[in-house]
Amino acid sequence: MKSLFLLLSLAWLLGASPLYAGVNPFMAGTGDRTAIKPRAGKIILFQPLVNFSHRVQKELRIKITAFGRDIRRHPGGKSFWCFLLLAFAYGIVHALGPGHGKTIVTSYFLWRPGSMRQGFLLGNLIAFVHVFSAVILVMTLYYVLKKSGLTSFEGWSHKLQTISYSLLMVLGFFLAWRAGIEFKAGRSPTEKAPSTDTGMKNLMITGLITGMIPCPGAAIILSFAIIVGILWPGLWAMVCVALGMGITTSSFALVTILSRRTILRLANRNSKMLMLSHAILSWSGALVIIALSLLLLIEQL
Amino acid sequence: MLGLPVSGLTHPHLFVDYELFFVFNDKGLTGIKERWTFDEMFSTMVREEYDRDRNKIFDSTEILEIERTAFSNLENFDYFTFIRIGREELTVKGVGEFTADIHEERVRYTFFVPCPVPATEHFKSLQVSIFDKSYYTALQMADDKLILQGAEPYYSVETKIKRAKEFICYEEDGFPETVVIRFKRRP
Repeated sequence: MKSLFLLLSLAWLLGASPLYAGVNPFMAGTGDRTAIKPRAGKIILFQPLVNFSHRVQKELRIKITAFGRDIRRHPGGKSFWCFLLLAFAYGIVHALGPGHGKTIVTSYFLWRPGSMRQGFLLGNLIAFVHVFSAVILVMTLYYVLKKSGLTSFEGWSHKLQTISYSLLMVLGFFLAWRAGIEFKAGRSPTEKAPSTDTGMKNLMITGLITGMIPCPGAAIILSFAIIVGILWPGLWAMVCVALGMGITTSSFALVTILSRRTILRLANRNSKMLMLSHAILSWSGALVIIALSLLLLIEQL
Repeated sequence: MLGLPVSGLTHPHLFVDYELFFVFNDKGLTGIKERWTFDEMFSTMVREEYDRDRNKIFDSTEILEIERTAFSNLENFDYFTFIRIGREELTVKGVGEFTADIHEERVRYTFFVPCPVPATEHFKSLQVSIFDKSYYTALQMADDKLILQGAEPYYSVETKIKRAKEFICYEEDGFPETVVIRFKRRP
């Protein structure tokens, strides 16, 4: 039992993002000189591992850039496939950092049990929406509004973050309300019936709300691709980045699902214990979503 | 442990190699010139947005625009520069001599951080860390490059680069890289 709680805690710990909204410190998020206060975790865990992660991402970025430039000279050649492969690897590593929905998937599957299929679905839904919201924004800015680069992207991204955090907070309250209703009615979803239509609707809504913030990392790669004249390889790279991110985010969902399942299986011997365990987990998940989105929203405003 | 805000594996969006030039005059240290070289991918975006005439050179108008819209906000982040003189922390509030250029396809920012430290016959010590606390930018020293300008023949200078090896460390102490410089006036 101790090891199970440790496993769940570890999944939460690694998934927990610091209060990080992903704002580019070189630019004011709203386009004016509004001060944006830096936020960072108070504890830096595994500093050597952090340094190693940075070096890996830096090397990936350098290689992606080099292959990207070479695609112009040799379209469809080895550089194209390396470009895609490295974009996939970049997605996996990049999503390990804060701000890619791991806290939300972990909290969501604390709130209610899910199937492995649902965990995989939510993780990938968040990843694809996160990347392709960046694609839509970048493409709109470049080709429709004819505005290049950073300042415009940051301005719109800031607005979308505010909307996303607001909707997440509303969702969190809804999930908390649902948890309260279930507890009052003495109901707890069982392993055999983990999902309902309502559960699938909630899942899809959660995925869309969480992912709607455009991913700056994806935006930078796509912008680079557009500027050097390799739009279609850039778009394929976005698919690969999203696939990589989906693997990482889904992994956190699956760990949470398995941990929750194990806890409830153990508590199943006693119906009161089962009800209480389910209620605690459900409330925890909902409250984390509320707290996280509220804090992020306060930082935005 | 649940809910503890930590930063495990971070995910920067920009990568910067920085060089530090410690600038001396006959009175002592005047300040630190910093040169930041951005990764090529980000540099491509900056050049697209600011090199309006596409001549691969930033003219004075373009530099002013870069400073206004893509640099000045760093004031809110202390220009990523954390300095301790002896035991006292120096807050970096203003920098000067900002310029931007393009070198081998990469954009570079150069600016001066005033940090006057009068020299004496005894060693004075300074610690300098360049770090983005928002984790948006990963800054790394370029080839362990420290340059002393104007130190000869007046001062004896010792430098050392400390790198955090601890597995758990608190933000205030846990900068990935810290330059320690000690200098004194030669007899």
